[in-house]
Amino acid sequence: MEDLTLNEALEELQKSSLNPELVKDNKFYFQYQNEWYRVNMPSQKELAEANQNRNKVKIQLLQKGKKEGFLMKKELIAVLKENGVDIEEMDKKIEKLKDNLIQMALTAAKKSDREEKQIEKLEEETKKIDDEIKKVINEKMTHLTPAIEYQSEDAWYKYLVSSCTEKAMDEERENWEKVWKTFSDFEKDNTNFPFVAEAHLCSMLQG
Amino acid sequence: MNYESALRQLARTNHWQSLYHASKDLNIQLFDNDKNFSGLQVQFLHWLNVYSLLYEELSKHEDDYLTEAVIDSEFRTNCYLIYRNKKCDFMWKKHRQEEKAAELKTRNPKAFSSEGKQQMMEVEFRREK
Repeated sequence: MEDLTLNEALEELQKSSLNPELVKDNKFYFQYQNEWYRVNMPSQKELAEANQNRNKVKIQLLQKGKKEGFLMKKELIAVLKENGVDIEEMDKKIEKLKDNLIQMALTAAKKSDREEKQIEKLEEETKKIDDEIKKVINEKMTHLTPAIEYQSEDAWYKYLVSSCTEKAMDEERENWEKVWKTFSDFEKDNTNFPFVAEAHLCSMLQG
Repeated sequence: MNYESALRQLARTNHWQSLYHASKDLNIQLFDNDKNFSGLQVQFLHWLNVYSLLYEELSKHEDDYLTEAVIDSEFRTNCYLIYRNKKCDFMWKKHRQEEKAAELKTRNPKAFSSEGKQQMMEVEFRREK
């Protein structure tokens, strides 16, 4: 990197203070109703327990089966198609939009720094296509969420949220305690907090 | 929630780029933990590596399309990385083709030593629809 002017150096300093907590350790810190919480990266033991919970839920749902309205993803896709919702068509649409994005990126990559207007235009168009892709993925997932695969995956996340979420017990954030002592305590929690914690856990795991 | 933009901003700062190089050269630990990295940390390491590579290529003027302004814009960096991948694919395929041609030449020196022109081409067979 080249030498920096004073302004650039100040900007750099500002940038480096950009929430390094995101990566300083394998925990994710967040505030909820003026209290500090964190989700920890699961240990091998916690992952094994979460896997067990996922398998348990999967078997339960498979046993309940079609009689109680639980279908595997493949079966659900067929049922949806009979009712006018074509998941394969949505996948094709997503692929086509992604191809468009690549073509647009290749055009934009060859623009020079002087062609600001054209770059801006391409960025806007890319954003529109990106939003369209997200819209189709959301629609697809709304239809597929009831599938046994996704239900059991959700059980996996929920177990990890219950065992990896802690609350700060002091202002210095030195002492932490588990929010839920057991998975059953977690299941009894009727507030919105489990969803908030789950969203943070997903971000931490997937990046 | 998507923290990619925050991670990328952080990864291209002088502070983290220097730390990243020091961690490789002097074996300095970047994070409090040295194992069981979170997804955010893995993604951050990816971007540290990408920006380090781009800054290095920029300093060597390896590609006319890579400028400081490209690195400063996430959109333009994304586009450049796609273009760069395509370029690498093309170079790799070309290299493989040249290797195949050289191999053919060593296997059949007679065929290549006779007069006239030789051409190599790739033929793709497709099932009729």
